[in-house]
Amino acid sequence: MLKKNPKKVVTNVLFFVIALKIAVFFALPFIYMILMSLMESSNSIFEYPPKLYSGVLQFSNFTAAWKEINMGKLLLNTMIMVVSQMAIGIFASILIAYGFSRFKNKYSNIFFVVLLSTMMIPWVVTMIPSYALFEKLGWLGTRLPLIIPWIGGSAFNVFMIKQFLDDIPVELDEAAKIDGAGSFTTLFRILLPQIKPCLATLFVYAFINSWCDYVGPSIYFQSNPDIFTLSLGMQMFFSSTGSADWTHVMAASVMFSIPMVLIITFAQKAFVRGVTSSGIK
Amino acid sequence: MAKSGFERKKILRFFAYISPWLIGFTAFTIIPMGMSLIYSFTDAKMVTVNSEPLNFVGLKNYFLIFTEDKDFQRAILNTLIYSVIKVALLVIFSLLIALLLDKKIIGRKVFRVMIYLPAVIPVVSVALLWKLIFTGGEFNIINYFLSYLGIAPVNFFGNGVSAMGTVIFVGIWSGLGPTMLIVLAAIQGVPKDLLEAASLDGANSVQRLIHIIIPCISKALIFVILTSLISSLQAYAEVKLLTEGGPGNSTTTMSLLIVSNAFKTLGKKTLGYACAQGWLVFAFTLVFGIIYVKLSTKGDKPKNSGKRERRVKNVKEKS
Repeated sequence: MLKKNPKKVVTNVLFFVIALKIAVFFALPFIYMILMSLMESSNSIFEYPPKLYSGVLQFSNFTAAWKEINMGKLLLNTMIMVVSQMAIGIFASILIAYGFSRFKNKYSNIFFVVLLSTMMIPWVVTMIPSYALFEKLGWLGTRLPLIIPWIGGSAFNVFMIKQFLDDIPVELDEAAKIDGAGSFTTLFRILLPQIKPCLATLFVYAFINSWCDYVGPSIYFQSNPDIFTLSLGMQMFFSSTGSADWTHVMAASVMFSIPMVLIITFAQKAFVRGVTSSGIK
Repeated sequence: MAKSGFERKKILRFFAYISPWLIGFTAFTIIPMGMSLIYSFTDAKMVTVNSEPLNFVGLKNYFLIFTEDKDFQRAILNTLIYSVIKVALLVIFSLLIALLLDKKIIGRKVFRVMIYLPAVIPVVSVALLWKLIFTGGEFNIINYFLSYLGIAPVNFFGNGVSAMGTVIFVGIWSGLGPTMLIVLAAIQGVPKDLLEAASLDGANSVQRLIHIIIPCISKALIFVILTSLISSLQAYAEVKLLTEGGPGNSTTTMSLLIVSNAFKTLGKKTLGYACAQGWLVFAFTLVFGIIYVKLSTKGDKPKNSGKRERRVKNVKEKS
């Protein structure tokens, strides 16, 4: 049908060109970041008229930046946060969502509404007293303030898992029960394998959120450089030393962004599912 | 009797499974919120809050916000300007780009990833990148391109209006991906026969957009608008990292000021005052939250019954 109508072909080409321009506009700054990370020096970045290529592709900027801010250590700290937040947050959310999905009773609705409405509480409201609380507990400068609160799961995760669990017929649970499985076994052996796509999505999201988080570490980790994450370490280092070499700054930024770029490229399916199912509601 | 025993067991199991949330919610939401409310009526400071008794000052903090604190009033204005302009542009561009990507054009999956890319770049990298691009006063790459278009060089972080514009621009660049995908998914869910019927009746594409697509995706649009508003009202990291609220206080948002007040050790604007300010932010988000719930639960009934039918169908198919 497309080939039969020349007018339609022209509009399709036009749409393609517009879409291409928009997509390039969004990707271009990232490409600029990569180009600047390969420039010879800060001076070559600030030449006027500006250049995108300084004659050499200086890959040594990456190793220099890595050493300069001790990126190995920052990466390790970030991974500790990512893994612990992800593991605790998703495990707790599974249990909570299971409770809401399979043990409905006269209280469950009201609790679910409360759970969802916590998404609306601005972080500044709870952050200030939490800081005082964590100080009293001696948690400041440790990783605990950003790990322990995840035992409560996250409203978004619970909502998503519950949606998916609700779509699995209860007959499946009942069959498992007849076979002698307890509720815990039913959840982990029977139900979770059915919602693998949902869990994949949540892992992708949890990874992105923990990896990119700046606000949390910037508030609770300030006093202890030993546990700085990539976000905080990069920000602290590059803003405190005004003389930082911009080629190194960009090289570090590229390295920091690459895992995220890989995720959305290779886990696109899991990723798109998350965005859209949060919206359809 | 037996039935009530069964029901009781179910309730017990329910609370057992949601207990992690009950504990987390109590310890890290309810208690801090209660503390915040109490602090907001005191002149407590972060450095003394755990050692000295609280000194209650009544509603003084709340009065101070509206009577004396010109900085915070400016921050409220900034936050509203930022949120409204950003969300309006975000939704318009999301809709237009989603309509475009709904067409069967070659490479749209690649385009989708490219448009989404900025949304997953860590905010620290985003800020460093745009700082570099916009830096150097009049001699940066943007001004170089503008000069080709005959536009005089702009010192982007030099004055309030252009700094705010820059922050909004970066916000849209890095925030458009998710909203666009939600709108796109909604557009793809519009019944095709409805669109075909309209075409047969002679409706052009603009008419189809206004009379069919927009009404069909209104739920997704409401969701996108209100969730973006609620998160923009709390804007912190992107502004903090890009402009630190400057120049002057022209891009200072509410959250930025609250965090800085919370850790001040001198003067009237300290922890207690910051808590009162926090509740004001909550009031703003609550208003939009209530609007969202009101709008999105309208006409919810048919959707629910549809779901039930689907589940019944599933069950039948299984058996």
